[in-house]
Order: sequence, then structure tokens, then C-alpha cells
Amino acid sequence: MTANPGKKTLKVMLVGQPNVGKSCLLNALVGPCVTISNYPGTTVETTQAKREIGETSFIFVDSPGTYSLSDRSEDERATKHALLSNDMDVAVIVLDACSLERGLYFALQVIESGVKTVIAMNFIEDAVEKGITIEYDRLGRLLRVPVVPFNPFTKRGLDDLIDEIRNASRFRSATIDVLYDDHIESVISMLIEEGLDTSLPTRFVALRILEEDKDFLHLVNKTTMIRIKDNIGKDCLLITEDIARMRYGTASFLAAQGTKIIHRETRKKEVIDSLRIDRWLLHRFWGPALTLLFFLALFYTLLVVGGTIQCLLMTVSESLIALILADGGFLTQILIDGLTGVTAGVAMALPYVFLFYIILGLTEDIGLLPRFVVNVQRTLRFFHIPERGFISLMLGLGCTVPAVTSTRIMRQRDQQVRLVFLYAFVPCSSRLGIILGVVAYYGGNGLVLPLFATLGLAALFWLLIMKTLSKDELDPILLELPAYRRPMISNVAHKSWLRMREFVVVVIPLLILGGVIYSFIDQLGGTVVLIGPFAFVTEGLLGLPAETIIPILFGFVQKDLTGAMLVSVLGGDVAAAMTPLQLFTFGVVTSIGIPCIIVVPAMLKEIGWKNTFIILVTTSLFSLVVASTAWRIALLFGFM
Amino acid sequence: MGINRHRALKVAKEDILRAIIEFQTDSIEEIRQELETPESITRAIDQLVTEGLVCLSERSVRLTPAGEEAAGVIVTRHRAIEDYFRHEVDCEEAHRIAHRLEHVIIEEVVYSLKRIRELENKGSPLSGDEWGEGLITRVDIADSQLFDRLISMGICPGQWVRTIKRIHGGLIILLGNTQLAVGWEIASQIEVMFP
Repeated sequence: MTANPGKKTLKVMLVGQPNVGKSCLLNALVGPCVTISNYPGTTVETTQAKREIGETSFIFVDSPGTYSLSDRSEDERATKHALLSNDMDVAVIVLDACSLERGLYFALQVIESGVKTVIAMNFIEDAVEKGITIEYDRLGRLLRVPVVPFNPFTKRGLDDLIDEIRNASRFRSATIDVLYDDHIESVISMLIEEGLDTSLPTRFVALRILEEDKDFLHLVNKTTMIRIKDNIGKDCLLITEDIARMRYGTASFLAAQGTKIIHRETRKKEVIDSLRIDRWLLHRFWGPALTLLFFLALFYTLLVVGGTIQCLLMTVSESLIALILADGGFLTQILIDGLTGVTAGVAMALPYVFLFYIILGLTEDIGLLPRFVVNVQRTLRFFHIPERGFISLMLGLGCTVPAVTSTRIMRQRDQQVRLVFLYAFVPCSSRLGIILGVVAYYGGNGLVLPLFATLGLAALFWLLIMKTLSKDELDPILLELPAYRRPMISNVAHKSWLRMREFVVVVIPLLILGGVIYSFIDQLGGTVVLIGPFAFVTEGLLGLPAETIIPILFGFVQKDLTGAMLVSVLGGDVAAAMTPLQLFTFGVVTSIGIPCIIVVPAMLKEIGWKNTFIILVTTSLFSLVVASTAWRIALLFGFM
Repeated sequence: MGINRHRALKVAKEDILRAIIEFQTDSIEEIRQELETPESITRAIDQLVTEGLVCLSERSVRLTPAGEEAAGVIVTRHRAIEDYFRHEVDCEEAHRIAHRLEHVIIEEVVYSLKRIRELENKGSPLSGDEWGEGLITRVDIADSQLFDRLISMGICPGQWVRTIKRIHGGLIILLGNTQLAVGWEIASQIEVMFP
């Protein structure tokens, strides 16, 4: 593992249940680089960060929150695999001092796996306030694993943690063994005697098999399993439960032994406050109403505030470009078109994406998202979408790429594919940019509502089709609602910036590239070649000016190009070149469908090429059908 | 290996104390036959003498008052465990399990076992009409992964739970400082005793 002689590299994985502060710890250890949210399940993929401390170079790996090693979704499975791979030197188990028992339950599972471990205890001040004093040394002695209290904000305990990680990496000491009931222990021995082919501790593997972990079941053949089950008779029915129960019993025991003075009655103040707020926010009527109100307010803010910022940016950029427009040579024109692409794209997309991410960051930090999930779950379930899909859908309002990646939290492949289909109707900020920044900007704010209504109807139609097609059973509701907390502005700003950065880094180069390519083709007279053959679509099907095929096609490269190209092909004054109805139709056709090709790699990775292909083709065709129908209906009613 | 020897010694000591009461014997030979690790008997008795729990004379041992108290605890523990498992397996097997577990299990767990056994059939589903704070007496979920998930979230027999409010399709509960939304399908499988 040594990178260069004398320098040791240690790979340290941070694991723990959701919302215990793994990402916070990582940030405290290496400086800001991870997104922190007050929502269980923020980290979908593992995040790595490197830091040199003394002679050692540490690679810290953050992982998605995991309730237990019995994984129930793809992200949890990934954590388990990473944890059990030989690649990791030390696992740091992060525990919440206020929920010690359940944390220790998970910790015991990890310890059983034989990974070298250190326990890091978070929220110690909260625990003290609650009347819980944890005796870290005693707990550590009982577990035979070092227990280090820390506070990610005051940085207390971090040096000790680093020391313990170093110590732990050197040798593996004997740790606590959870002793199970006799019948379980005898089955464990039987399994071990069968000779399990594994590099992991056989006792751990035997337990995983008995807990029916699919990743380990293949290690014993069926006949052996049946023989063993016959041997223990009716007890085998209860074996999985008994293991969990005994482990939890041990965890409770350890928690009781390692803790002094528990005032059972004192609940955390935030929890009491949360309950008070939830009386309204989870109300059977007011809950859904307030959630709806929130989204209306969100879109309204985007429209008004975003629109103002866009107006400002457009004015500035137009006057800047006018400065260089002095001579009109071939290269200058390409440069200008490239610049127009960037400035228009930035002006149309950035205000919306930026605002959205700030608002999303705030709602996450406060802890509103899980409440929204509770409020919309009934509707989602009606359409056969598991409630956890809501978070992914909401992420889709920012950018579809990370949203598609986040669908990994779905438990079943079918559900994941259905969710990805829905991104055709969840306008990402680029598409919001078209709706608010192009259609509303040039055609009037009055177009926003009908446009959203059309999208909504199209989505409804699609949802109903998917509902009839889906046959799988939904999991029962089981969702943790973390206590509300005051948002940390630095955290929100930092998180928004991180999400923005990804957007900016990918989008701006594409905008420049798209603008330059367009200009190149245009200068060589190529655009005319493109416009003609597609006229039957633009003019015939949609009643749009034939040139609009350029922005529509370029939109597939990067959605933010749509607005920019529209301005380019129509020569600046969009409002004069297109009627409000045309702008509306243009909005519909460009905002339904998988937005652009940068989503495709994420889709391929998550749902495979076949599903990706089907989704791309069907949603694109569907957008044409909806836009064309909407246009014709509007014509019937006499709109122009 | 030091740990194992330490444990073996602890087991031997506890076995000796229990055997003296259960078989009403003072013969070291008889006691030796009861032990899982007869070879550790001398050291175990030595330690018991040093701890002031038994008196040693010739070939017999006698409990001191402190020893009687310690033995009493072990016997109660043994009985509680035996009692618990008698519902699951036959008597002989229950005795064997108790014999083994009595050395590792601690008072709190024994106490919970007793309570759980007493309470197991007295709970009513969490999805019922009863409301307030109650003790979880049973979690009866067939899906082993879901069961494990519930346990790891703190929904485990012996834990206190408070019902907060109904929502569409389920209810909100509070376990310690954890607020959870739980669907009716799950709630109906969790039995709770409301005092």
C-alpha cells in the first residue's frame, strides 16, 4: 500500500447509520468537500478525500448511511462491499451519542466482520444536555475497540481520532464477540465446519448466511443448508430474528454499561420542538397543502427573482458583446457566436439553477425534505412510486444528471427505471430556464401557468400508463424524520456552490463548444441544410418558424444552448419573431423529454443501454405529440 | 488466549456456586463432574476462596453468606433463561442453553428476558386504537432484511415507543430521540403494551 518509500498510505472508511455526521466528520478532517444535509441518504456515492498528516497520507472515504449490513438498496450494498473489500485499512464507525443502542447494533455487525475499527462518537454535547454521560474508556474496553468522542465543529477529538486510526491500522486486536443462543452457536459451528470459501472471518460469514444475506448465500450449497436446518428443527425459523435480537440485546447492554445517569424523560429540545412543528407540517390536510404551497412559492421565487437576475445579466452581456462586434470577419463572428452562446446560456440558466440549489440546500439543512416525503407519499404511492423517489425527483429540478444517479436508492430495478422515465417531465433548471427565461421572458409571464399545466397533464398521462404497467409490490413506509435544525448558512452556501460547480464545469465548456460549432456550420452555410429537411416537424407539426430546429437540436447537446441558439437564429429580438403561442409550443417541445446527452452516461450506468434507448426514443416522440396536440387545441380556441 | 482462559475460569466459578446450591452438595468430586472444564476446578476454587465466597475444608466446599448471595443470583439467572427458552425448545434443551448463557448474559438482559416473556402476549398491535407511550413486546416481521432494518432503527422488543400522530397509510412514532414514519403494514406487526 505504500505510495513511496517512507510514506505510508492509510485508506480509512467512514461508516455509520444515516444522519450521524459522517460527512461532517470528513469535512472536519480534510476541509470542505462533501455535501452535508439534514436528510438521511444524502451521500449516494462514496466520496474520497486525501490529507497528509505527519508521515502518513490518509485517504478518507465517506459512505452512504447504512442502517445495518443487511442492505436494502444499491447504495447500502455498495457501502457493504467497500467495507468488506480488502482495500480498506481501517473503518471509522460514526455513532450518535444520543442513539447509542441502535448505533452499537450496527457497530457490532461491522466489528464482527473483522475489519479494523475505531469508533467516533458524535453529538456528545447533545447527549450531555440530555443527561447522558458516556464513559468512553469503559465502552472501549467492553468493545475492545477505541472509542473517541469528537465534535466536527469545534474540531475537538480529531487529533485523538487520527492517533487511534494509526494505532488500529498497525495490528488487529481481539474484539468483542457477540455470543448468540446455543442453537445459533451450534449452527455457526456447523457452517464453519462445512469449510466456507472466504477470506473474511468464517464466523462473520456464517452469521451473514444465517441472516439470509444474498451476497453470502452462495457460499453454502442448498442441500447443506437444508441439512443444517433439519438438524436444528423448528428453531431455524427464528434464527434470523434471534440473531438480531441477541445482537440488539448486546448493544443495549453495552450502551447501559458504557453510560452513566440516564434521565429517560428528557428528550432533546430539538425533538420536542420538531414534534410541535410537525403537528402542522405532518397534518393530514395542512401537511400536503403546505407542501404544495412550498413548491408554488419555489417556482414563483424562481420566476421573479431569477427573472430579475437574468434581465440584469442579459443587459450587461449584450452591451459587452456589442463592444467587440466592431468588425465582422470569419473568426470574429465565430468568437462572437461562441460568446453569445456562453453569455445567453449563463444568463438564462445560472440564476435559476443557483436559486434552486440555494433553496434546496436550505430545505435539506432545515430537515423539511423528509416531511415533504411523508406528505406526498400517498400521491406517489397512488402512481406506484416508492416515497423515497421523491428526493430524487426533487433533485431533478436542479440537474437531471445527479438526479439520475440518485435513483440508485430505489430497491428494485423496475422502480428505478420508472423513476428515470419521469425525468422527462421534471424540468431541470436548464428547462426551467427555457420556461421562465425564454417563454415567460419574451412571451409574458401569463404563459407559465398553461405551460406547467400542459407538462403536468402530459406527466399525468405517462404516470397512469406506468401505473398500469407496474406490478411489483411497494415496500411499506419506513422513514426516519430527523429533528429540525437551524440552517447553517455557510453549509448551505458551500453545498450550493458544490452543486453549482459541477454544473458550471460541465455546462460552460459545452456552451462555448456548441456556440462555436453552430457558428462554424452557419458560416459555411450548413444551417440552411439542417433547416429544410426538418421543416415538416417545425412548421408542419408544431407551427414554429423553421429555424427553431437549430435550438431544438442543439438543445440535445446541452439544454442551455436552446435559449442561446434561439436568440442567435432569430437575430436577437425573439419577441418580434415568434408569437406567444409559438413560444408556448416551443417551450412544451423543449421541456418534455430527457434534456440532453450529458444525462446519457448516467442513464447507461444506472439502467443499461436498452432502457436508456427506450426512454430516449419514447419521451422524444412523446414531446412532439404533446406539443403538436397542445398547439392544435390552442388554435381551435382561437389563440395565435 | 488470555481472554479465553479468563472466561473459562469465570464459567467454572459460576458453575461451582450453582452446583453447590442446585445439588445440595459439598463434595468437590461431585462438583467436578458438573463442570464443563474440570481441569480449572482447583484454580476456580482457589479464587472463590480468595474472594470470600466459599470455605474449603478437606475435600468439601461450603458457601459463605456472601457466596450464598452470589449463587442465588446465578440460579435466578439460570432459571430465567431456562424459562424463556422453554417456550421455544424442550426442557432439556432449555436447560442446556441456560447453562451456557447464564455465564455471558448480564442482569439487565435477564431482567428484560423475564419481562419480555411475561409481556409477550400482552401487547397489542401498534396499528391499533391504543395511543401513548408503550413498551414494544414483539416484532413479528417475516422479511429478515426488513426485520434487521427495524431492529437497527431501534424498533426492538424492550424499547419504549411513543405514538405521535396518524398519517395517510401509517403513523409517526418516537423512539428515544428518533422520529419515524411507519406504514400500517409494519405497524400491525409490532406489538406494544401500553401501561
